[in-house]
Amino acid sequence: MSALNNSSTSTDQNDPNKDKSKTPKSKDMHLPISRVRTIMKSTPDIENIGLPSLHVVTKATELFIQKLAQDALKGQRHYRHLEYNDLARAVEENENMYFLRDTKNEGSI
Amino acid sequence: MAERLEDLNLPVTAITRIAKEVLPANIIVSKEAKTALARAASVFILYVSNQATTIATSRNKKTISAQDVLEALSQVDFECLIEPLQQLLEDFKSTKQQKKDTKKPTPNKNTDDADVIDLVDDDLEL
Repeated sequence: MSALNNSSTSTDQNDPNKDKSKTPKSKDMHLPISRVRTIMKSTPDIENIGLPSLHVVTKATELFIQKLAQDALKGQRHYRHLEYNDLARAVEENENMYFLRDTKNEGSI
Repeated sequence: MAERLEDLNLPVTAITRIAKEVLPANIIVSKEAKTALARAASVFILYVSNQATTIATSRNKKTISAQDVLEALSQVDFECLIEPLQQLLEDFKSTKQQKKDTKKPTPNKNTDDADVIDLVDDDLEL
């Protein structure tokens, strides 16, 4: 998976000829792709992961975090603070986040 | 591959940065909330990967494609995420194509060698 290394080291940033506004790729990715891959690999029965799909999962996860954080903020009771309970409530209120329910109940640490 | 539990965790600082991008600047995120977000993200990855694997397997494919992932997201009611991801895919494909285009080899090496040999021949003649 040498191609993986090539894409995650942002060569776009080093290339002065590239128009930066047109390449939103690696600069916009905050999560380490290698770690995402490690997590994906621990899924049972998984065989190979295409590089584009790895990027999609990474970005989807980032968007998910943002969605969860925003939903948690909507009902927040402690002014200017985002607390664990806010997140737990957001999970309860969103049907598509039910897969997180057991995780939340286990406690934060 | 993930032998240790910590390998399944995502860096909390990165997660926090991502969340803060969409939160007002004055919001303080508690430590427990940060940890919970990171764990939620890991579980999300596992959840989507599982779904995508099922889809790929049902089509007798051994490799998960981006399309499998997008379909998995649709199946788990995360259609709202699909549109920006499709945009990402387009950018990814076009960047990959650009890289391929700039990698064309220069064909001049053989002629240089020929020039050197010609010079040597000239010297001998003199």
